[in-house]
Amino acid sequence: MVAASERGRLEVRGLSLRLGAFALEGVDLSCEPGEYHVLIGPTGCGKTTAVKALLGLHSGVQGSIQLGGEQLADQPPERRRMGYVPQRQRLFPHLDVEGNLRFGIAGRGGEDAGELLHRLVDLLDIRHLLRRRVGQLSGGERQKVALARALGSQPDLVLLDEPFSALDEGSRRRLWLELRAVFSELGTTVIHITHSLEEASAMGDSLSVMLEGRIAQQGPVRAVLDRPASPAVAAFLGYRNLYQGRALGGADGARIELEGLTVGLAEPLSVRGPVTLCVRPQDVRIVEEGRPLQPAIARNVFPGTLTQLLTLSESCVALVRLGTREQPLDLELRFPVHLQRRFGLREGQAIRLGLWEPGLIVYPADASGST
Amino acid sequence: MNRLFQAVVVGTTALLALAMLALVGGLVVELARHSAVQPPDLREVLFAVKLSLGTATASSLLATVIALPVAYLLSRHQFRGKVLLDTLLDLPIVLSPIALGALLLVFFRTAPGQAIEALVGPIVFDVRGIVLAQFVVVVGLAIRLLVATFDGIDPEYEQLARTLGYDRVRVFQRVLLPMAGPGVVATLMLVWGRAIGEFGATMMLAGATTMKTETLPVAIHLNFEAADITSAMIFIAVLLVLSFGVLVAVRRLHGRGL
Repeated sequence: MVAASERGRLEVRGLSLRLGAFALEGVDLSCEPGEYHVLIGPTGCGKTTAVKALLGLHSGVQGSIQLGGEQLADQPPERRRMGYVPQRQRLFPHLDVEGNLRFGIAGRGGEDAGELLHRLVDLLDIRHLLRRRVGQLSGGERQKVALARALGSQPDLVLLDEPFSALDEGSRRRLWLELRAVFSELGTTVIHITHSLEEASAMGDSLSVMLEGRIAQQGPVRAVLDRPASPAVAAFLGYRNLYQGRALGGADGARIELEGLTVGLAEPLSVRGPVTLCVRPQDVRIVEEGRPLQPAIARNVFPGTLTQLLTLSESCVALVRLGTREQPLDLELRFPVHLQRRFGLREGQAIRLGLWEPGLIVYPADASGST
Repeated sequence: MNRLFQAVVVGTTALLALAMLALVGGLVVELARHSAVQPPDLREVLFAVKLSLGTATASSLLATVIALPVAYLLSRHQFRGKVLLDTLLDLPIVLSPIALGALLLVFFRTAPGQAIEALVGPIVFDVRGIVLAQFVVVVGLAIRLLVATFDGIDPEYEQLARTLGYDRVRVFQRVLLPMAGPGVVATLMLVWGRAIGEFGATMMLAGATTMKTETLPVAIHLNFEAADITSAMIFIAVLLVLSFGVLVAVRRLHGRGL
C-alpha cells in the first residue's frame, strides 16, 4: 500500500486548457505528501475539468504536472499513478464487486493481488459485498467499492470528484469519518472536489477555491475560511455581508464610511479610498443593554431591527436592518440556537449589534488581497 | 380526445400486425393448395439452406468484426472529415442492393479488382462473390448499430480504466467490448438476418446458378422464374422460419421477451 512519501508530492504550475467557451487559466496547485486537499468552487467553475486535466484525460493541456518530482504532463493516464473516483463511481456493470476490485489491482500489476484485495476489503469494511452485483449496492457502498478499486492500482495520488454528492446526510457524515480514517492510515495524498463548505471544513487539511477556471485562493482550510482573499472568494464562501465604502484615516486608527453607517477601526489601514468591507456572520454579536462591552466590539455597536429569522438544525441565521431609513444596510448574523431563547428574538424586534473588529476584512478596490 | 388517440394507436398497430399475418397466412394457403404438386428436390433445398447459412454467417461475422474498429472511431473520436466519412459509410444502407452489386461487378472488371481475384481466387459468379455482396450490403448497418451501442456506453468508464493503468487496447478489450457485448451480439444477429435475405447484390455479382450460387432468395427467384410456385413457397417458408428465429433471439437478448 502507498505510504506517505515524497512520491505523493504534487506540484502543478500553469495548468491551462481551453474547451470551447470555457478555459482553465494558469492553475497552480501544491500538495504535500499525505495531504488531504479540498478543491472547492461553484458548479461549472472547472473543478472536474482541472482534475481530468491532471489525470491526462484531456488533450491540449498546457503547464507542468509533477508528482513525486516526476514530470507527468506528457504521460498518458495509465502512467500517471493517479487514482480516480468519479462522481458517478463508474463501477463496471459487467463485473461483480470482487471483479471490480481485481480489475483495479490488475491494472498496474505489482503486489500480490490476493493479499492486496484482502487488505483493501478489510480497510474499507466491504468484505461482505464481494459477491454482489454493482447494481445491488447502496450509494455509500458504491463509493467505498469505487475507492477500493482506485486504491487497488496503488496510486501516489487519489482524486475524488464530489464523492458524497449522491448520499443522504447521515451516510455522508458517516463516510466523512470513515474515509478520513482510511486516508490517515494510508498517508495517500488526496485531492477532493466538492462544492460543500461543510464537507471541505470537515475533511480537508488544505483548501483551494476555484472560481471561473482559476485558483482564487489556496491555503490551510481554516485560514481560507477565516480570511477569504477577495470579495469573490468571500461571496462564494457564503459571506453575504459585503459592502462598498470609503476607507479614511483617523487620529485613533481608521474608519470606513458605508452608506448609512460608519465603521471604526483601532488599527490604521494600509489602503485609502474605495474599499469593500466583509463582515462575517459569525463576527456579528447581539449586544444587551447595560452589559459591559469588550473593547473589540465597543467601537462598532449599532441599533437595528430584526427583519428575518431562520432557525436551522444547529444554528440560527438572522437578517438585521441597520443604518438610516434613507440608507438602510442589511446585515446577516449567525448564532447558536440557544441564544434565540435567551434574547427572546422575534422578527420586527429592535436589536443592538456589535461588530467584532478583528474579524472585519477590508479589501482594496482592486480586490486582489486583504488587509 | 384521449380515447380517440388510444384508438388510433392501437388500431394502427393491429392493422399492421394483421397485414403481416395475412402475408404468412397467404403462404400457408398457397402451400396447402399446391400440396399435391411435386415438391422441390430435397437436395436443392438443403443446398440452398446450407449455402445461405454459410454465406450469411461468414459475411455477417466479417462485417461485424470490421465494423467494430470503425464504429469505435466514429463513436469515440472527433476529427476533420468525420461527417463525410460517416455519410460515405452509410451509403450501403440507402443504396439499392442491385446498384451495389453492379458497382462490385464493374469493380472486378478493373485492374485492381482482377488483381484481388488473382490473389484470393474467383469472386464474380462464385460463392466468394455471395459473401462479398452480402458483406457490402450489411456492413453499413453493422457500423450504424455498433456506433449506437458504443454511444450508449459513457466514455468515463474507459477514462476510469485508463487511470487504473490500462492502455487503450486493454481498455477496448477489458471494458468496452464486455460492456458492449449484448449490443455486439444483437448487431451480429440483425446483420445476419439482413444478409440471409440479401438478393439484389448477390444476383449481380455471383449470378443465379442452380446448385452453385443458389441461396434461399436466389432459389425463390429461380423457382418463380420457372413458374414453380410450390417450390418457391417452400423456400420462402424456410427463409421465414430462419428470419423469425433470429428476430426472436435478438429480442430475448435485449431482455424484452416476446
